[in-house]
Amino acid sequence: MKRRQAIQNIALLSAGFALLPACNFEQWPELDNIPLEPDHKKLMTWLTETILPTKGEPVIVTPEPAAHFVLTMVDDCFETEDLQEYVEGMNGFLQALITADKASVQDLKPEESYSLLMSFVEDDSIPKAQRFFIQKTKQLTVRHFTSSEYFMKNHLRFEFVPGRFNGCVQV
Amino acid sequence: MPKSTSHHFDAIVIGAGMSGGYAAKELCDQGVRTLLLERGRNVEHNKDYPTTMMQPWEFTHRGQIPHQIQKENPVISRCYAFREDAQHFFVKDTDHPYVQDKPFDWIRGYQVGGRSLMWARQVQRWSDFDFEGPARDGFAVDWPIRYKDLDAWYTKVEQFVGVTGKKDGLDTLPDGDFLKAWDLNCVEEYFEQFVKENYQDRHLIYSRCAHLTETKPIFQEQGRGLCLARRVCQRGCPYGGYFSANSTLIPWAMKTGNLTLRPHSVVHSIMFDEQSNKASGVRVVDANTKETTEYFADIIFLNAGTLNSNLILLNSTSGRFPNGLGNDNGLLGKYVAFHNYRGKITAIHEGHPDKTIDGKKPNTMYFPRFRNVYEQQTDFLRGYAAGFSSGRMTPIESEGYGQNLKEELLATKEDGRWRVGSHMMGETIPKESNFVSLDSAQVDEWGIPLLKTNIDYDDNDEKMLLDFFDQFTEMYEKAGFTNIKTRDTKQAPGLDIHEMGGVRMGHDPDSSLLNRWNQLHACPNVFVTDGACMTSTSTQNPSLTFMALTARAANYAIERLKKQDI
Repeated sequence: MKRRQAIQNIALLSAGFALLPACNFEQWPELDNIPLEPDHKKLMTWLTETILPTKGEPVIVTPEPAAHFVLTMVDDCFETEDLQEYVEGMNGFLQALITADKASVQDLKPEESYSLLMSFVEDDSIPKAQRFFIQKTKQLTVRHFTSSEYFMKNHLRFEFVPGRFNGCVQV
Repeated sequence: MPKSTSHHFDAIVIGAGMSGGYAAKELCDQGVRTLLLERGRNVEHNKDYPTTMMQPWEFTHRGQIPHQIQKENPVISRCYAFREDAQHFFVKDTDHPYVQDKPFDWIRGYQVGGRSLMWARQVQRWSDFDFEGPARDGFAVDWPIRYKDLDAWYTKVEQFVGVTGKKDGLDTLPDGDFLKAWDLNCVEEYFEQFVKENYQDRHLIYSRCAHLTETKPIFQEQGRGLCLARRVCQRGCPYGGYFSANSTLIPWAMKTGNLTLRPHSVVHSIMFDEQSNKASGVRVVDANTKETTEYFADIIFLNAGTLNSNLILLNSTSGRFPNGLGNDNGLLGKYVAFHNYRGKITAIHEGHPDKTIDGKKPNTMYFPRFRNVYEQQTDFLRGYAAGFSSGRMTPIESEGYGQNLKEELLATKEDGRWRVGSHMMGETIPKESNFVSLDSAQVDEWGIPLLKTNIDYDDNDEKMLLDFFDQFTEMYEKAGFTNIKTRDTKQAPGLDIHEMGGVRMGHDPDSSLLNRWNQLHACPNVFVTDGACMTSTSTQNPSLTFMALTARAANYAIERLKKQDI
């Protein structure tokens, strides 16, 4: 599996893409409606990975990191009001981290990241927009995961060109 | 006029979709020099299917259409197939506006191949219960043909396009010339048997579908391969596994050397020559340059798609026909009908938990009409067909966060239950009050009046919808399905994409526009053989019938041409 991924990574890089989350030169999507300062990028990379950790086994290769997918979907597919609420929640969430002196989220250990996220999720008093931001980021992160090649082939039994149909087989 | 110039042909076909493509194929096969006009761009088989090999995860929005496009194009956005993978084959509302005096979702595909690229590929024959419907039940006018007039043409079309099916021996849905069938799944088998054992007059059958499941010399000659069951047909099929005008008809006609295909050709009108009392040709506006050109031919086949064929005739005015070509009786554009697709029912089947499916297939099951077939049983006229589909359920749990969420997701698998569902396809009664007309003030960018739609449901449709819910709820309950839910989609007419009529066939020039050979009564060298010609709609998906009518009319036209009496 690791060897296969390494080959795929090389293929991606040689095709001119830089999609590995760890790369410094990774290309973020161009967005029309969402601010994308370095802090936003750090926040989204941290949040999507904390909501749904992808490191370790199984190796899941996707055309883009979850954070890129989430922001592209929000930017392109959300209705105006939802988009505004999302951006408000995103900025509010970022401000809350800064206020709590937790802005350097990328330095946190996974357990610390999880605890920090849950302190927001379990706090009934956080502003509505922040709750909306977390919920929507989670939904889209899950969608990114469940539409991946790994998930579709291994959990949804997806085959692109089956060429056969056996209607009644034993599980 | 001399026929040697590039503007003169033996025949002109307007519209390169399924029926126009079929007309071109028949005409070219028999040596008729044919000009095929298409208002949209060319889509060449295989070359112009940009998404066909894309995996689901490779789409930027994973299939979803961005909000701005949806907001600007509410009509096309309601179409089930207008998704990221096939959006380039659909007409956007903003590009081709029309006027909805009553809501009508007009789903269009302006390109060579038309909607045959994205269609659902269902090809059920009509029977005499359908052709005799108007006469028996006293609506519209009597069809000037019966099943025997079309039977051989259905066969000819099926043999050319390739249809997977089973011989069911039903008088309501005559058998055709079929290629082998795919398996039924466990639930389809179970429900088929259940219907057989519990209802004498109802049948659940394997739906007949235009896919190649066997190879034959004719398909090899067409350059088509077997369907590989990818189920992404709407993108265009690189194997030619399903039938489209692009994979089958246009290349075939082109090979004869008799076809001239001219995309980007918006037909403004059909020209009428008062001296010869015939149509002389077609006036075309180039979609890009807006330049007007005239083309001439002995016969004209109008296959622009139901509503656009109405539009072209309404816009073809002359001293002889001030209200549109062939429109002596004022009925052109009237008696438009469609299929009522508003009813849906879903449920869960908890049997067969240890059985599943392996692979995919492109079709499901079909309930031919069983209401009011042999006698009037209900307080509404006619009836409905219905689909039946089923598949294993794979619920995705995503409650937690972090590692918990990951573990939940990685535990996803089929849970042993099956989801089942049906949708109704109801016959609607053609009425004078359901019509299309031309807007008197607004024109499009090619100088052609905008089409206005006045098409609506009526009480008969409402009663039929309730009966579908009652009958299917009863059948589903009796079959042991649980969690049964019915839903009225309340969708506007048109979203069924089965609009028909407006230029109906009939015996009498006073009450119809076309004769039994699809010729305009008042201008017999013009043939209308797309959905516009339909006198009534019955319940079957209509494309096969359009193609059979087209093949029949084209061969009649060729005979007349050879005898030089048209």
